[in-house]
Amino acid sequence: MAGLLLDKPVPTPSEDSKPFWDACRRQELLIQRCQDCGYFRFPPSLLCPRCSTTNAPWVKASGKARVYTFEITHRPLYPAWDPPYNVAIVELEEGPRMHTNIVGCAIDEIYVGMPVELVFEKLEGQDWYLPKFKPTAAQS
Amino acid sequence: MSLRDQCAIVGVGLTKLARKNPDRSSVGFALEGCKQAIEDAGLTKDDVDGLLVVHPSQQGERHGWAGRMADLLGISSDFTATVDCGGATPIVTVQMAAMAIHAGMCKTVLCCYGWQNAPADVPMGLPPGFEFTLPYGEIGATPFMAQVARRHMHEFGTKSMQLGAVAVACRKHACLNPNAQFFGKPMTLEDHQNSRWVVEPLRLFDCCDWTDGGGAVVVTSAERAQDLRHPTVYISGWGQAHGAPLLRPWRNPDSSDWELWSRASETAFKMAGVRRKDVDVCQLYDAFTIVFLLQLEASGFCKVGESGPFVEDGSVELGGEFPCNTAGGLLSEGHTMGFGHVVEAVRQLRRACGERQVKDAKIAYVTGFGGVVNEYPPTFSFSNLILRRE
Repeated sequence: MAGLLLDKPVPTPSEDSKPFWDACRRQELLIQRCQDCGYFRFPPSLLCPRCSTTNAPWVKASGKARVYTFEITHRPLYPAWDPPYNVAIVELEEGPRMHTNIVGCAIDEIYVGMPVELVFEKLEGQDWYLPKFKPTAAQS
Repeated sequence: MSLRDQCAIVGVGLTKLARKNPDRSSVGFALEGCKQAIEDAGLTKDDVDGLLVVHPSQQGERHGWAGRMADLLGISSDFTATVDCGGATPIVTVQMAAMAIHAGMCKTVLCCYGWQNAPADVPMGLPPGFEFTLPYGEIGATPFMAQVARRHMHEFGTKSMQLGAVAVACRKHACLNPNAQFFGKPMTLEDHQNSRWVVEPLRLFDCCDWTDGGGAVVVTSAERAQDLRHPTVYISGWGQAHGAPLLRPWRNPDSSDWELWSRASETAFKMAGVRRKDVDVCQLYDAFTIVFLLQLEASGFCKVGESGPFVEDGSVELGGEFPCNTAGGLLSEGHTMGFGHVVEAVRQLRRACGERQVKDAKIAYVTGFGGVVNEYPPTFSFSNLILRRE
């Protein structure tokens, strides 16, 4: 497997997810909201998995989230990343959960339930922006 | 009409299992398993008129496995499919075989599996579509099951030592199984706790090794089974459930994210007409130790969240109250995508397991669990079988 994926892979959008990734370039996190039942859905999809209707305009997520769970990869399957590193699943304030990395803190500071907020990271040398999350700034 | 006890598993085969076996292709392993299973049943290939193949998803760009396999076996198949539900698939093929026989499409079905991890003729590569996981550095089942384990630990206080109890039980049983990949390699709880992190909170001994190998079972009508050589192993009940519980909290807002699968086990026990306490031996899917815990909960052998304490003190070991994974499971017999579990359940009911035999085993319960976790949303498939002998 050596030699494979030495560079960090870029997203490979489908027809359905292209608007999501286009918005990331504008540093906006867009999710679909069902116009009929109000359900926020992710990943992007034709049908509302709750009420089966198709009318779902893109809306901008608040960017507020909490860590639902996370892992620390010590032995990556492919060599593009330097271990140890974290991958988290965060729950957006609107409801959907998504994979991301927690940035701006040490990996041993991450915990389930941790409040986090959206930050975009540009992939080095690429025109791709990934939504990531950092610990929420302390309220004063 | 209920399909309870209408069909039976009459032949089983499982090849040599090894981390690396460069002598066979995936198709080769499956053919070897098929030959063993047909001979074990005391049949010939001309008795087989249906074929179901577990999709070797790692080689996903290759299509039409089942049709090609039928030709290579030299059988005239009236019912054929390549089935893809990850680790739930071996059990799903047995269910489908029973349904096809009952529907009158065919009389005797081979269900088979073969896996070569490093196929010489297929370059390893990544299929597209991992846009929401791969750019963050998550790929494969291990990190996703680590996400599951972390959440389980957070909600229920599950401990690494409890995961270790599963690994130790499986290894103990593998040491009684000369065909197991880890035969002759005992493991203690201390070994488990000292093993390195792969993806935290999963340690090396929480994870399966790679396994090259194959297997097959022969399914036919219960009526026909009476004329064959082994005690009849009836297919008494089954169920399935599929979904993405960790990513789809809306699916059943009144229940916890972990209860998606419980309906499938209710279905199976109701179909079979047996109670959980009637089960003598279990083969629970265990690609990772955490998956084994989820199977206990999904199957209703303990409440959601209570599987950690359940496995402490050797309860799932041979000699314990609830013997499971008697051949060593995926963790220590070998990762056969769960095919080994089906084969072992049949052998237990035939009472052919020697040192690892559960005395007077009459009812066996088997689960499969498949994660398709790199594409979004990451989903799981759960399948189960209840097998019975007179």
